[in-house]
Amino acid sequence: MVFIQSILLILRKRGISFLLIVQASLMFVQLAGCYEVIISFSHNEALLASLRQEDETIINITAMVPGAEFLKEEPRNVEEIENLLGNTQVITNKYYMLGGKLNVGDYPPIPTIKESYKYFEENHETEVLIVTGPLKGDFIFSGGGNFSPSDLSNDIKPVILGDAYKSTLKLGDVFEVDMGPSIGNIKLRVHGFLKSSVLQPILTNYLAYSTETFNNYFIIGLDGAITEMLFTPSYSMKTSDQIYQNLQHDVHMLEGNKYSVLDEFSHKKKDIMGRAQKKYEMLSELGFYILLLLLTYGMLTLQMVKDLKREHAILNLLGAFPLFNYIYMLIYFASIAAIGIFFGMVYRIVNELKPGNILAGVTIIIAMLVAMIPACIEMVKTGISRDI
Amino acid sequence: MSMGRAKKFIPLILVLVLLNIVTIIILQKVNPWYFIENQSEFVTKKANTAYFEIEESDVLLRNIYKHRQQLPAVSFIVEYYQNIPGHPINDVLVVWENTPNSVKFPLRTIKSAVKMSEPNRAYIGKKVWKGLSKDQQNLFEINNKVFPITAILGEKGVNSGRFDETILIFGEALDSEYLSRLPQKYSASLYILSEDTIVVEQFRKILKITDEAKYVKNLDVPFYLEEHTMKSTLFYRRIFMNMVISYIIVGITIFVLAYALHIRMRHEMLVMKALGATTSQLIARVLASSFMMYILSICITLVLQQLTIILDLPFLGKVQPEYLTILFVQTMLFLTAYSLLTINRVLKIQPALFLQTESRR
Repeated sequence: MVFIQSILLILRKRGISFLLIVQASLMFVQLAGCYEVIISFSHNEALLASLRQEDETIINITAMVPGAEFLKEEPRNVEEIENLLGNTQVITNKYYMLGGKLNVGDYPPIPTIKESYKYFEENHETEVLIVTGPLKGDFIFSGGGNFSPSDLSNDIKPVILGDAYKSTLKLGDVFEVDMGPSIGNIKLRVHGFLKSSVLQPILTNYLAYSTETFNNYFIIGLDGAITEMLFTPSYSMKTSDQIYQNLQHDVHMLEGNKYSVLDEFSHKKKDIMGRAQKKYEMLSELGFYILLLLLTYGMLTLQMVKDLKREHAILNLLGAFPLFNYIYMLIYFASIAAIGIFFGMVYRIVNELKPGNILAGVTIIIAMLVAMIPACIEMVKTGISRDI
Repeated sequence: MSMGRAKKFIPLILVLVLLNIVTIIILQKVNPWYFIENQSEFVTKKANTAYFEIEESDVLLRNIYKHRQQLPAVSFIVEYYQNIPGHPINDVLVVWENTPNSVKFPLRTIKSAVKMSEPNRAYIGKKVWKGLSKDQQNLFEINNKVFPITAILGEKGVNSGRFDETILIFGEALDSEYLSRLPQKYSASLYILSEDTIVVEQFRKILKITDEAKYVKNLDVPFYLEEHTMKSTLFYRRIFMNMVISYIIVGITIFVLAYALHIRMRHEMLVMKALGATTSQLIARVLASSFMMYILSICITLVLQQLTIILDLPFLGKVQPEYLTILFVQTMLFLTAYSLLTINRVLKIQPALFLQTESRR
């Protein structure tokens, strides 16, 4: 109680306390901003590391459907393109792209990047990839695994999901998806989860834009009889930039210019690289503010101790608890930091931001404690006979 | 001023140098817009510019290749996106010139056997250049076509924004092989530059530009600026807010340091006063120390900046001279505040009372 009273007295009397509170609150605002950028980047760090090692990308080959033909829903002759892809000898997954509606409880919390995808989130709709056989290529699973051809003929169809679904579904769970009038409701059993934050051999435009780390895959295995009713298939492969360019050329040379070859991953790559740059900027900004904190508190506490040396020596002589002065100073500055952090949080909330990362507050307090070390050493040196 | 005395001011000098460095880093972010603005002024000088946003860059480039002879004799530029290994989504500018060098960019030429008039040549942005291997830095391949690199876009130590990630090639060098490997489904911008009035309908007809393509105006359209107007407004506001908050934090730090420094200097000042120094002499001493700090902090910042420019590091780059004055003014303002605070305290010094307490220490 005595401590609190004396701190309130100091805060009221000293103009410098007010300035320190303003500084701590603004520092909190800036540090919280820096940490937000650094943390958001860290989520993609594994992906960036894999990108730096290899010159890989994901390309999709899709049929260009003119507006008038789009409504016909007629199966197309894909012999020509499949022969061409067979010659490249790159592992290719053939898939059909549809949409599906999930029950509210099964829909995972997926943050969307693009405003246009908000509709899917609000209506619990997901992009569904339909394959007619086991997945080919080096898919990385975080649980379960690939399905076998025999799984496709079961009444309950196998589904492979992205990591985002782990929060709502478990391996072996059975659930339903509404695939619209052409297919209707299908019962699905969770067969595996695809690891997020890594480059899997399938990536559609929706997946590239919709999430931070490609965590909302929804791949259903269906047998051939059902897929005959579907649109033209698309093809996806994980390959090098050179093969991508060559395929563009070969597909362009096909008669009638019927297909487009798209590098779905390049926008994502660019985005991640931009963030890496931003991370270094934020780290240097963080260093700048921490240095300012160290200088401010270091100089101030050291000067306070030097100034009050005589008083400290008298208190020691009178039999005061030896750490009294240290604890007093600590509580005084901790109160300043706490009040500053509180106002910093209020500032962020008023500006419609998240209250702030706990790390920002911890940084301020740790910097303050470190800055007080020289003052503590000076305090330990206080000698009763010398300083009185 | 002795080294012993100067040591006291190191924290304050450090804070001022840090502030100046942060200011340069922030100003560098504004710099690309300055560069683009200058670029647009140059490109559109005494000329009309028409600008289209087109859905499919590959279709546009193929149409230009096919119908180049029928197009009016004006200069035009197509900007589209292209991947090169290790550098996804670079801006590619394909330039068709009416007269050689009618479209100019600041360039740094590099040693190369290829002449600057060679149509096959390529100019390359600084960031792209740095990411290339030694072999690629001489001969650079896009879409299976080899382009000898003759110059780097932009100046040394200057952040030119998007231009640092741009590849510039010339329309005459394109062939059907190159065009067959163009990335699809990316949008493009078409800039038409002419000293006479541009007949837009002629371009629409020959290049089969659909009515849906966004056409801006047959006026002076600032090159690149149009699409950045919204972004840059927000960008400037964010930079401004960031600077204001940084200034307040640094201002408070300087005040606290001035307060701590004053306590340290108090004894020295008192002894001087007791020995007969006048108040004006004490004030002169404070001002002299402020001046020393001003010179040192500015010099250290500028030396650091020059070093990074010479070494072409991304840390600190060139900023426009008018922006550089901000450094001089802000340092002066902070040091004036420091001087006023210290002088205010010096004027209140009571040697007799103080020496009495000091003697007991």
